[in-house]
Formats: sequence, C-alpha cells, structure tokens
Amino acid sequence: MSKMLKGLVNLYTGNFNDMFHELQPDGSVIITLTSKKYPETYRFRVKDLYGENEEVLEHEIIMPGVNPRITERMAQAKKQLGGD
Amino acid sequence: MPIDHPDGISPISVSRADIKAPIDIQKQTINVAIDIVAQTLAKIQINIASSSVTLNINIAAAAAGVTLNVNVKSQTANINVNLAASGITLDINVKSQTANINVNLAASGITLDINVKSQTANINVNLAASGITLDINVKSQTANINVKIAASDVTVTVSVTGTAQVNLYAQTVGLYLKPEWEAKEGNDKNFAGTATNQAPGVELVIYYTAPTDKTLYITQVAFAVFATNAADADKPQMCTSRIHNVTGTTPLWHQGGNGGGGLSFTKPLAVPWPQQVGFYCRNGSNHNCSLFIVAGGYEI
Repeated sequence: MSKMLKGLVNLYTGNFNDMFHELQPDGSVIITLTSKKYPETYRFRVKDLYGENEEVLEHEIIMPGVNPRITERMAQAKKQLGGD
Repeated sequence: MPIDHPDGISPISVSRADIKAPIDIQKQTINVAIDIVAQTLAKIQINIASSSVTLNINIAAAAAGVTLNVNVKSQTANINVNLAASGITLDINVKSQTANINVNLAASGITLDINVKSQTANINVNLAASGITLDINVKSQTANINVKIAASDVTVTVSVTGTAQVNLYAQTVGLYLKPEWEAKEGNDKNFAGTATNQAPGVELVIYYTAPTDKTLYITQVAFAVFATNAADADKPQMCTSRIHNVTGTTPLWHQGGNGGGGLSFTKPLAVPWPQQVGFYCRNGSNHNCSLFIVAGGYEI
C-alpha cells in the first residue's frame, strides 16, 4: 500500500478544524483542510473518496501568505497613530 | 497498668516488632505527642471528645498503605493533615460548633472522606497528587470551602440539594458553554460543501468519520440552493437537507425549504467513532441548481 499524502492523512485522522468539500463535474472532490494547530492549508483533489479505488489526483500545500499591500498600510496606520 | 508520674510527664517507649497499644486518657487538659517509626502501620484510629481540639497529623513518605480514622466531637476543632505518602485512606468525621480543617496532600493513591457537621466550617484542601478520590460532605450553618486543583485530568462533581446560587464578583469572568470552550481549545469542526449546476433530485453529500475513540458533536447546520440559470431564479428553489448516521442508518435531522434553511441544535447530535456521518443537501426543484451545506460542532 502506497504512502498516503499528508492532506489525506489529516482527513483520516481528523487533524483539521475546517473542511471544504467541492464536488467536481467528473465526480471527484476537492478537499480543503485548515486548522488552528498548523499554519498551512491542504488542498487536494481525490476520486472515489472513502472508496476501494480512492486516488489523489492533485495535492498541494499552501503556506500562509501576508498581503504586502495590507502589511504596508498597517505599518503606515501604526506610524500615523503614534505621530498623532 | 495506670501511669501517674509526679511531674505529669509520662513517656511511653515501645520497641517490639508487633504491638497493640490502646490508650485511654481522661484529664482536663492534655498534650499528647506520638511519634511512630514502624515498618508496617496498618491502621490508626483517633477518637476525641473534648471542648477544644487541635490535632496535627503528619504522615511521611515512608508510611505507605495506612488507614487513618479521625473522629472528633468537640466545641472547636482544628485539624491539620499533611500527607506525603502513597496508598492512604483517610476518614475525618467532625461534629463540632467550629471546625477548621486543613488538608495538604502530596501523594498518590489517596482516598479522602471528610464529613463535617458543624455550625461553622472552614475547610482548605490542597492537592498535589495523582489518583485522588475526594468526597466532602458538609452539613453546616456556615461553610467556607477552598478547592484548588492543578491536574491534567480532573472531574469535579458538585451535588446540591436545595437552591444553588453562584455569585461572580470578579471583574473579569469568562463563562464558556461546551461548544465555545472546545472552539477556544481548537477542537471545533466545520464542514462546508458545494456542488454547482446539479440536476433535479441530485444530492450533495459530505461524509466524515471521527478519529479513533473520539466523538463528533454537531451543533449547527445550514443549507442553501439557488438556480444555475438566470431564467429559473424567480422560481421556487425547493430543497431538502439531512444529517444521517450512515453506519447506523439512523436519520439524525431532516429539514426542507425554499431556497434553504438551517438550525442550531439545543442538544448536539453525537456521532462517535467509528460511525460515519453524512451531511446532505438535495435539489428538490425542477431545474438545475447549485447546492451548499455547512455544518459545525466539535470533536473530543
């Protein structure tokens, strides 16, 4: 039996807080998992989920990113608050 | 044999391997100090009927497996118990007008019963131990009870016959219901599902099974459908939704609506491992629709 990808491991061990399930036209589903206990997001497309022929077709780990524009504006706001 | 020393000091020293030493003292004022260094100390029973009693009991680490019964009938009773031993059974029964009881435990495997019938009772219990069973029964006109517990796994049961009133005078107090607490602790679970452009009668479903030895508690659900094509947007968007224990083939909740619906459960729906739960949303209209369902709860 091949090694499970981390997203599927998280799904089967309940290691997530939020699960988004998107049914695709071909019958596969895209599962997105996030958690308060880890920063990254797991997003994977799987066919025959929970079935005998379960297969992960795509798998990605999305690291949290900070919008540079928001970061810049927050810094500007903080600076302005300190100057008032 | 009665002992009556002229200066009132009556030392008793026993060094035999196995002794039984019943002592009966009937005097107006007495001070008794007993030091026991024994290999096996099976049982100590202390019965005191006096107008004022101060009783200090210290049991050190070497004294394991001791049963200690303390029965006090006194107008004023001050009882201090310090235990640093394992396998201790301690019964304290006090009938007094005023009872001050301090119990400090730094031990394992302690069974502690404290029964107080008193007009005024001040009871302090400090526990720094593993494996403690603690029963406190108080029948008193006035009672001050302080319980401080720093443990990894604690069950506190409070049974009240009568009226229970909780007054919080702290400036900062946070009270959490179970779902809120579990969300704060990071044990909340949220499920969302969508399926676009689904034909009449098609059902969207999300399956989930809680991990080993855990239970999913579902506290809320909501569902929605809307027409895929703009021409159907003004028509009724009939739909039904349900939560089903798939393993047990047990329907847990079912609701229908026009465009959607939802509910917060006053009693959570529990689905324990290894049972599988299904969250369903069905297109009940006569045209293609997009289907949505969200459900939430916590898992412990």
